[in-house]
Amino acid sequence: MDRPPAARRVDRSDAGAALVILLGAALYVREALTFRPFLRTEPLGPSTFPLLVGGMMLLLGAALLRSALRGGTPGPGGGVARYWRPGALWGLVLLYALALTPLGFPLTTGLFLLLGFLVTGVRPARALLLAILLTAAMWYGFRLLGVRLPAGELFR
Amino acid sequence: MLEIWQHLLFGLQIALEPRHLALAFLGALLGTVVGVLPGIGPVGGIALLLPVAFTLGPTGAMIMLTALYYGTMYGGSTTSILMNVPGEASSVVTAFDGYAMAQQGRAGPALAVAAVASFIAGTLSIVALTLFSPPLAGWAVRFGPPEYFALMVFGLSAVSSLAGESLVKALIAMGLGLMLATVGTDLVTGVPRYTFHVPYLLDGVDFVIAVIGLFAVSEVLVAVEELAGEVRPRVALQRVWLSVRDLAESWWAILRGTVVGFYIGILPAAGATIASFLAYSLEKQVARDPHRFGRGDIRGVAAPEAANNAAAVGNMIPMLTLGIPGSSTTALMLGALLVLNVIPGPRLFQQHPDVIWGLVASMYVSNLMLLVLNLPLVGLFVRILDIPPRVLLPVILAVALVGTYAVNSSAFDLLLTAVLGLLAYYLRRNGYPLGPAVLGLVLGDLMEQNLRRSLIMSDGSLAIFVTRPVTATFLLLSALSLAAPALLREWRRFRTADVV
Repeated sequence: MDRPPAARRVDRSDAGAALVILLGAALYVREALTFRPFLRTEPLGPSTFPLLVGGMMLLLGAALLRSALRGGTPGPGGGVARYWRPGALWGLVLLYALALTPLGFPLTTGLFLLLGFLVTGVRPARALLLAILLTAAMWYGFRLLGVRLPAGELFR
Repeated sequence: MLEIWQHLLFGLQIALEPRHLALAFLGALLGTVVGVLPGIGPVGGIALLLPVAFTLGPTGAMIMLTALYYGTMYGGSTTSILMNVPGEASSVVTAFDGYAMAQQGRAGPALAVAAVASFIAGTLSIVALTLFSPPLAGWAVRFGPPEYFALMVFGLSAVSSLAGESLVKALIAMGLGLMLATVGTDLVTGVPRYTFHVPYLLDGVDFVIAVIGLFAVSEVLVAVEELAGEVRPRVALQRVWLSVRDLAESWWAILRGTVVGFYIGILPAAGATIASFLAYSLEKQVARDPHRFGRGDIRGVAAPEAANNAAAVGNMIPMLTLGIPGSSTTALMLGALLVLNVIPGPRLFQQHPDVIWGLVASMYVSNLMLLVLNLPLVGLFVRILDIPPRVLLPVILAVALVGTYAVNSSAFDLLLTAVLGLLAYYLRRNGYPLGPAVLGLVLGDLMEQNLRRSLIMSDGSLAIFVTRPVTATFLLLSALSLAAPALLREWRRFRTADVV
């Protein structure tokens, strides 16, 4: 049975992923060729296993590219409306990673929770209250577990 | 036989220590909560708990993580029955008849039979595990590096061939895991690999960090996409009870579900989800009145709930005795043991009897605990669902981030988590299964070491992989499992062509 023509179009998302995989695997293999041990004590050196893995990834990337060019089924639609929340939340994760050392745990976590709640659609007043309460709870909770969280370099 | 009994008594002494009892209770409680929450599954829950688990020592950590794993199996069924929203993939089938029963006002018996079936199946499977594991470990103790290498190849290919829709994508996920595993200083020669002059990377990618990024962060990102905003209606809860007639009706379904689940669980790659589907369809086939299934038949709840618990126990066998995990969850546990300097495998029974027997005994304990906890408290657990996901998801993410930081007190780890979280989000959204990735990550190092040791043994000759019977068999099985989907497709085409 023939598939409907819409499904036969090139799967751009998979084709792009395949190109990224091919490039990544090529760089991975190139790097593996530079591993030189000081002493040769065994039949396989430090680069053999990475070369095997990299070679396998090159083959798989090619296979993915082939099937993507043949056409695939379209992925989940929805565009920006679908992806803005995960995107915004991921941006907050990145900010958290960058801000934790200079700003310290209380401020970073409080801000993260506040903005996170706003992204997921909690009303602003409630979001602020929850962020403050939960930050305090986590600060003392983790201290109870023996984890010391940074207070922030800015405040030293 | 007597020996096993002595081991078990020794294990019980460990499991019944107040500290371990408390950890099992905590694990069971948290697991049930994780199971009830639709946004986060057993793997995400374990990933979140790993930073805490490492402060507990191997025995305590394993007891808590295992109790948590069982707890998710119990909790997942609750939302399936009351709201038609499976908390976990392994309780999807439970919703077919469970929700129908709840709509007919029989939510009480449905919840009760789920708990009782889980308990019976869990207990019987642990008995089987207690009996099977030592001989299996005794057989595997003679394995050398080539056998191990071949066994790991088999584990990886079996998991990849069954996970997801596309074999190529599953293998790509596995390859990504293996690539991550090669980052860091090579243990044999001391050569730094893929560290790009970043000192943090010399020790390799920290397993806990990778797992939190891959599972916890990406799970929240996927869940936030589907934020509905409104609270789903749920069926009112009555008293949770089970009449003698209900029990008599579901008894054989429970036993059949247990057997199916346990055997499926032992097989690599086929976990609790597949077991629950198979047990349900088996029950439908042997029933004299199959038309009743899907309309609120109690057997349709009993069989899959027994099966998913039995599979969860069966899953532990290859992980503990061979050191080869068959599912993402057991891969996480294996990784946790490795971080704690306990190497799973046949020698575990000799080297760390306290870990293994304490764990087995605490499985009995936490199973009983879950039954006692779940029957009266089910109403309380359901209340958790009153917390809207829009509040819950940012909090889960914040806990994941703080947990990440707590492992090494390093902000670099947070960046790594962020990058891996984004990668895993892309993978999830585009049909790449994450199971093979985590398996590759856990097994990569061990695989490479065993490959290199094998070739030292043979002076560089590859013949070592075909001349040793066990090794050759595992490699043949790997090839078969990778070819199986394609072969099946051809067979079906051949059959249908024949009929027409």
